[in-house]
Amino acid sequence: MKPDKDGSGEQKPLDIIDKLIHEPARLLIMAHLYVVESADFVFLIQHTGLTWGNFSSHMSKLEAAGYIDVEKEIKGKKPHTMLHLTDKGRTAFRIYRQQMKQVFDDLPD
Amino acid sequence: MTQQINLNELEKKTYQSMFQDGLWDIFLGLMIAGSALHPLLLDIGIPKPLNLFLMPLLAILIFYTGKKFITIPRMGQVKFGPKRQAAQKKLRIAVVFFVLVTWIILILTISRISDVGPLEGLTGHLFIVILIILIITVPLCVVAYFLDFDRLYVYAVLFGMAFPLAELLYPYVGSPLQWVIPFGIIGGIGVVTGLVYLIQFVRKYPKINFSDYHSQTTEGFDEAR
Repeated sequence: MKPDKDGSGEQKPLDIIDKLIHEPARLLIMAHLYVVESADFVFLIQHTGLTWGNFSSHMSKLEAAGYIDVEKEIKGKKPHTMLHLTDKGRTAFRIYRQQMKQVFDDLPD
Repeated sequence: MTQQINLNELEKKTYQSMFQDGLWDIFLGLMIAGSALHPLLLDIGIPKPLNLFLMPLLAILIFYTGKKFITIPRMGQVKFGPKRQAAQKKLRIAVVFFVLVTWIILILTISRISDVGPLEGLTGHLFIVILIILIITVPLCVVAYFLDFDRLYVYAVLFGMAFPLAELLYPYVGSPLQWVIPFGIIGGIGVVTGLVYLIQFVRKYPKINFSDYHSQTTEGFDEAR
């Protein structure tokens, strides 16, 4: 483990958690994209229950981090956008799951 | 934001949302009803062979237009992962297998009937029940399993029950009512169930104008970066 910021020794378990994924709305988006290959905006908004504004700002953060890829295509003369997790995003989510499990496993009864 | 995240449950829930619109129920209901209603359609002036194809065509038309104009604008589009794609591949193999088995059973049955005549009495009824279970209920249950579509198990059993019911009704109502009554009722159950689901779906998922929404999303998406 990396040294803690305060130099007091090892990093605390919660410090290693990916804060970008840990935010509840982004966690929902990542979880939905993790279980499918790709989905469009409408599908994700309906399933996560987020508003467009909320969804859009979280999506841009996830895209900026390289966790999500946006594919634009033309379907029947209409533009259509599908979103999917990148390999980096899928790996980050997998690591996040393991780390969260570890955090809860390490908690005393 | 209060929902729990269980990834297996989430995947299943997401996948099963495909059946929330009730269009599969309406499709199956019309196909089941249509398989026996063609004599009545002939009676009301729909010519042959249109009377045979009208209900299946209507079922297909309602299914595709419903998906295109009701479901997709409300639910959006999704491609499922390798697990579901593998299940769909297995489903296609199973369907081909059951079509072949059905043909073999039908050919053997017809050749047997032409050799020794139809079975009568209890043996005949038992034979029909086993035959129907083999060529209707079992394949539909297999499809329900691979599609993860729980209501299809109920339709499989009901559809299978329609044939022995028709046999039982024959002494009382004769033909074609012996077919029209059970198939009409079971098909009607499918259509009504589908309509109930469709109404719930429309209420739960308000329509989103897809082109406006897309321009809004892409603009908003670009702005938000």
